[in-house]
Amino acid sequence: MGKRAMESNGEEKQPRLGKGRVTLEVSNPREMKRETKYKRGEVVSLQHSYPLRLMVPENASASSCRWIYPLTFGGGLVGGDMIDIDYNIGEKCVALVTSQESTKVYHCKGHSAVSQQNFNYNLSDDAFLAVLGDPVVCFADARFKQTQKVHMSSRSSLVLLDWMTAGRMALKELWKVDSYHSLIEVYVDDELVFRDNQQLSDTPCHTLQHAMRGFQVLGTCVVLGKDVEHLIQHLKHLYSRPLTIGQQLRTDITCSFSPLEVETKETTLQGCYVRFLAASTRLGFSVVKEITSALSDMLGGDPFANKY
Amino acid sequence: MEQTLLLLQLSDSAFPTGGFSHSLGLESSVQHRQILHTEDLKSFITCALENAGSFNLPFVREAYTFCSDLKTLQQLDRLCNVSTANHIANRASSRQGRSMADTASKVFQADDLHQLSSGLKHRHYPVVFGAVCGCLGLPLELTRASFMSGVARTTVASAVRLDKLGPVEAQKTLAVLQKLIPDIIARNQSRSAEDACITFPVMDVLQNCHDKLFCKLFYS
Repeated sequence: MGKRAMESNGEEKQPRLGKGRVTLEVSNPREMKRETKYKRGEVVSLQHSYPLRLMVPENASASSCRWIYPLTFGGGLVGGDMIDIDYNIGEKCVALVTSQESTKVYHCKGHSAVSQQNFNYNLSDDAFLAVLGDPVVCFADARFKQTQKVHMSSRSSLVLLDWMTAGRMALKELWKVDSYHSLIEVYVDDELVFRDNQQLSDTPCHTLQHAMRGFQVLGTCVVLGKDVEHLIQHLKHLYSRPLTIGQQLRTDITCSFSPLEVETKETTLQGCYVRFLAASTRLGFSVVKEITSALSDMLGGDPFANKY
Repeated sequence: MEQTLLLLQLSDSAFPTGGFSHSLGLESSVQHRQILHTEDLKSFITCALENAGSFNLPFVREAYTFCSDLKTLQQLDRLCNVSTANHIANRASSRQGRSMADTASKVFQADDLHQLSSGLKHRHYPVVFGAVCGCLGLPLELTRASFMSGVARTTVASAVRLDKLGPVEAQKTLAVLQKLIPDIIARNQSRSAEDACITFPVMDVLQNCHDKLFCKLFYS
């Protein structure tokens, strides 16, 4: 896929609307043996329109997990672009939504329109979905809005990571984004149980750059469901242990951990909400690695292998 | 005159809402060595005010508007709860809201106030604050100003107790930062609770780490 320097390409003014949908299903999930938790899902429906492309390679993973790559021509979004994707993960399927590279949000001169991404994730009973992509990188003056809505059954499991970096560090472009809006909502059996809404921008009282206090990476991870207990324990152990006497807190990485508990009609789901701040992309990536390391068996590989 | 006196009573530190036991993340930020100079402190308080404006004020306003509609208040309370996944902020909010609802219902003896302490599950502070002010007939503008002034006062008072400011310096800082409040209120005055958001996340993440601290003065 050819990467184009959209930012300097003044002609690229026609806003693009890329729509996509991918549906994974297992044939006869009810006939599976009870002890078989997950089976390899088949792609029963796959649609996409320019500039979006959805790829589901046959042999990406060593487990029954299917890896899904949403790709955007041009390697990023320009003002006015809108990407809209529905992911439907069927019963007993396990899927990973990941990426090949960071999502760049460019700024078009004279183009004040917002670049948008809307992702809907629908998880059926006993489905497992991990969303572990590369970070969003907003260039100076970019305007970005991302909405991620998860509709999950109380018998499914979710790991959703969303992270961003300050911008093009090589150009000393730190937190110069005009506006960055990210909304994550999780519904369990159609009831809203989690909402994370961040709208970052300069205000007349304060600049974003100043308020970010030298951190260059901001990340959020939501984990929830019946089959993520080991990951929750792993993250809890890493990020919520109280300090011991005299122990100093790190100033270059900060990770927070909040437990989540969702009561449904049938059961109580456990989960957690992790956020991290890191002083460099490399440090931010080390946190991402810590989070994903507990998932490699389930995913059948490491989506971040040989990166960063 | 009556309203002003009511407002003074509600916003007085003697009115037991327990605000003094919260630092809104300042203590954790200090221990994370993020508050080294007075400028850092001003930045912190500005961020606290901006986040209160973009996240809490929408709940204050809607609860104020629907102060006698229990069903809507319950929805707001629930929305506030699922929108505050930061468990430190969540418990600080519901603790203060609970104290305020209980105190207000005992002090002012109005039916609408009783339903706040009995009818809301989480009793989040901005929801209770807006509803109490609405039930008592205070003007919306004063309600918002009073909420924001509480945030400024709480953080500045915490800074004094954390030995980051002297008492006179603290009042000087408060006098300066208070001037930001009208602008923050104006920018968020029509924001809906559905759109309540965090504007500056760093202090929120640092607050989220509060329970990791080995020794602490504050509850949040």
